[in-house]
Amino acid sequence: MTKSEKIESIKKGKPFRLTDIFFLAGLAAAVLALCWWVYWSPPAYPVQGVEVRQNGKLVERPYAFPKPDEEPLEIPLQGLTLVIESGACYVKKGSSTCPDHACERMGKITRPNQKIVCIPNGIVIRLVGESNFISIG
Amino acid sequence: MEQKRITTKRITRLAVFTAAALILTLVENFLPPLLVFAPGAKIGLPNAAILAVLVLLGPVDALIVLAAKCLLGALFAGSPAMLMYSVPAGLISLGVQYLLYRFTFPKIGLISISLTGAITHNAVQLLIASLILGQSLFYVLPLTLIASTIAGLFIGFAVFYTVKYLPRSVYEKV
Repeated sequence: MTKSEKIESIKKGKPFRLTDIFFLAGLAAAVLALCWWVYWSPPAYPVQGVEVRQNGKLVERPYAFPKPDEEPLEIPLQGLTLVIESGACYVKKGSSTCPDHACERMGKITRPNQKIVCIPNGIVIRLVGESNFISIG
Repeated sequence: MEQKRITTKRITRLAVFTAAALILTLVENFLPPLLVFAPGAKIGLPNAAILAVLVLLGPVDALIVLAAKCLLGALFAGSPAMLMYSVPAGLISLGVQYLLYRFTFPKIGLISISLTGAITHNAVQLLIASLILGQSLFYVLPLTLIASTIAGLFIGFAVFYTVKYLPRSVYEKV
């Protein structure tokens, strides 16, 4: 099929073909399966703390979570403030100095190895489980 | 193989499409994040111009527009570091879209081609961010895929109707 024939087929055709619908259905199924595996499947081990790296370097030993009845911890980092509560952490609203505040919009993270990334400040916040504590601590 | 000569008309067409891609880049920078659930993900409006060039003028011209858009877009945004993300993602995405358009069209339509391009573009950017940060960003991938699907559908429709209603004089030989 030449270039002109392809353009003609677009001009005369419809935006969706049957193969497109199969393609979209397959893609939707793959994305849903991936979402389930990453976000909703039971975690292999419980989270125990929060690891913070700035420009690839570990800022401190992993922070332990406060107990459920304790106040959340507020940790000022270079460029944002991290809030750690029992079993979760997030970037405090309005604390980030980056232009699009994408790290704030990532919301709470609660699962092992889940991350909040702030590319402009070079910060990676990660939830760690027992095995991570042993290797780092 | 068709020999591509550098003519005034070809240069003018490339300039018009490059300008369109750059305007779309600037417009996108001014828009609030439309895909709020996926931080950092964008619709990728300039990709509409590049896919349109691929279909209407061919892969070499699409490559030229992509290179100009990446270079000038980074300069206008005042952030040359953007090139680390935009050049490899744009090249791989264009390559995938070209292969699909060359070998599978019309069995697979423009919308699926655009979708695949959007997914490839965002996945490559995520991979580069992971390499730069030295951390796997796999956790963001599903959200990125959902954002890419929405963006790819939108861009696919835009390109389909652009090609459908664009006058032949814009892309046919004199």
